[in-house]
Amino acid sequence: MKKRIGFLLFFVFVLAKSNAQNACYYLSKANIEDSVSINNYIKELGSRLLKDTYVAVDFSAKPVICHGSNLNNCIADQISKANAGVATDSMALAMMVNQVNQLITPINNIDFYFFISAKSLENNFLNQFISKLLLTTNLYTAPNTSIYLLVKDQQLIPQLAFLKSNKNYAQFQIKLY
Amino acid sequence: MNQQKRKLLLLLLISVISMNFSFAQSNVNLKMRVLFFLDYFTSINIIEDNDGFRACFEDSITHLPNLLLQQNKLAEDLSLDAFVLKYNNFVYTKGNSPIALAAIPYAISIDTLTAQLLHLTIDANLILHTVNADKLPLADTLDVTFDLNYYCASKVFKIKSIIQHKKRGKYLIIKAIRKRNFLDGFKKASDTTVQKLVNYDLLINGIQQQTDTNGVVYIKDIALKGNKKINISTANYLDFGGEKYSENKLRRIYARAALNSTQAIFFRKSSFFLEFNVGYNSFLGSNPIQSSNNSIENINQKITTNGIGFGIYMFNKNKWDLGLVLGIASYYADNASFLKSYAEHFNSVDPEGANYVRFMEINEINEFQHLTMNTLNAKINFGYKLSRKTKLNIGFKLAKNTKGSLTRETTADALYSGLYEDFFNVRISENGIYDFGKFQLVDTSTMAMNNNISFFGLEIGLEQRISKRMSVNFGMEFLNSSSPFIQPSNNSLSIKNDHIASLLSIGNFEHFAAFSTFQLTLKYKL
Repeated sequence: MKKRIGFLLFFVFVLAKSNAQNACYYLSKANIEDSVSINNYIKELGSRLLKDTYVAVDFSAKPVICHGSNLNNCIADQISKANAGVATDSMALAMMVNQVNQLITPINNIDFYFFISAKSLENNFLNQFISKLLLTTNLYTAPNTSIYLLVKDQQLIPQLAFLKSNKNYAQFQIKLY
Repeated sequence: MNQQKRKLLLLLLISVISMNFSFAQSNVNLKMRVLFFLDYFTSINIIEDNDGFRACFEDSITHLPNLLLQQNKLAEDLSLDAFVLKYNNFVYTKGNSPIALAAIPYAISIDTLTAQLLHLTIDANLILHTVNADKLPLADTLDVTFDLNYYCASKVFKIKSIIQHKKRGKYLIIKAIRKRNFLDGFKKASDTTVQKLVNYDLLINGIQQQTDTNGVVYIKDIALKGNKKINISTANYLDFGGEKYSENKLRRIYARAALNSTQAIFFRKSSFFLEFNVGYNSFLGSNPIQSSNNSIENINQKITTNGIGFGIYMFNKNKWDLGLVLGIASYYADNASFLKSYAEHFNSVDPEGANYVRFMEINEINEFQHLTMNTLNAKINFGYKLSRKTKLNIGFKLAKNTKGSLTRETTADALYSGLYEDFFNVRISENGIYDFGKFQLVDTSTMAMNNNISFFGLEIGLEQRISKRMSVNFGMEFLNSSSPFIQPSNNSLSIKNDHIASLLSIGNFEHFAAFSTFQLTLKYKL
């Protein structure tokens, strides 16, 4: 009887984990100028979604993952620390890979969100970052992984054509925010 | 016993799961590390750190593509030694710009060879970025596979090779320039006084491509095998030229010492053009001679015209243009005129001195006329651009004839008679008495046209571009004289039986020239 109850609890646990629809946002230094409006955008997601939302903020010398009910305050705190020292991009990547690895389950869906600004398109950094993230987490082959590129300025959309050179382009979706 | 077996099985399961987890974890770490290694490799300043760059490779005979983007030899494969030597010479000795590298990986695989050695392959887009001799930014992307060894004990990656599976072709940098005058044509692309065409649509081998803020387009991955002409023309205007890069021309460009210089391509709106036209019309109703009195019936036989003109565009906009054309033209017309009957009488004196009234009744008068005329003309032409290659033209023309003549041949049946009022009103019309009687008349002559007659006309046609400079226009021309082209005379049509004047000289009848032709015009933009 105890075994059955144990198995049932395990099944419920797996089921609960597998249904999670996690959203991972990445805010790079190129997003600092738009950070207040981005924070407002995330605020509008509503508290219901916050528990499955993870925001990697790479504004200062020490990138952090903001999560949970304190998410917006955490981002606001990072905005206030913006440009206070420079972290290497690899630190942010390592942190985000670590977070994603904790979230991954066999049939889990993880959606990645990247805010696009003119600055983030200045070099190949964003394209590299996304590629590395997908490769190290093995998510480049996962059909349930979606990459959303959030664009405020519609004029930037044609500039995203360079992503076509990325072999995983099929997973990209461009949205206005 | 069973209890012990279960415990053992559980232990085994836990150890397998933890092994898998730790392997997966180490796999992630290894991937991260190899990606960081790639970042490190691509960010090395080769000039400052030759040894550091070499240390990334397994040995000096390791092969990699020629990453000296300015040399435009992306398909070339070099050993590490050869590459470093070339790079130092090109960048350090000759002072060319260094090449920035960025690798964007898109696939990783890890094989375990031994406990001490792992073999990794990373497929990546290797982005090369630099500036060329004209300080224009230059970038290209190679699709490569990095083949690496990872030595577990020393935790070191070594590149075994960088392979391009599909060799990248050459590139061509084109700077679109607006040619404003003759001297502009001799300027180089790097000349700051040229007017570059920024964000300008070009048609490159039929594909629309826009120049960047420097007026530059990059044509990439050109393979010089087979027919590799590059047609470049403008996508913006009907009347812009373009350039064709044949394979030989491309080879000449690539053979130059300054390989990385920008190729200038000049576009200009034509300011001047030449026109050659021919016209023809043989419809019976298109009478080249129009008489004020419709008792004379005119029938067109044939009208031909030809002319040349020199034109200047007063306006040349995207959708329309307005041009002034000055030219000369020749008009030839064959016309047949017919008058059923014509009668006149006047007082005369016969050879014996008797007074009489002379009657002439002339019937079935047929006249064939050949009119020749040269004009000086001026035309204002409005062109509406329907598409990139097609234009609707409407032109208003004024012309003055410089010289002109009319040759005619007239035939008629004539009856001459005399009324002798002093002799009981006897009327004599028999042949053999004096010059009375019935006669068949045939006469020819050449008549001069009135000088300085004004002509006004209308041209309408559809123009189709057939090459970058030439276009052909098909339409109609109507040209009418504003005043009679033959001076009417008060002379009799036929006083004697051996003479008949032209129908066109009958008093009080006015005759106007009217040329309507189907016209084919060849236009050549200068």
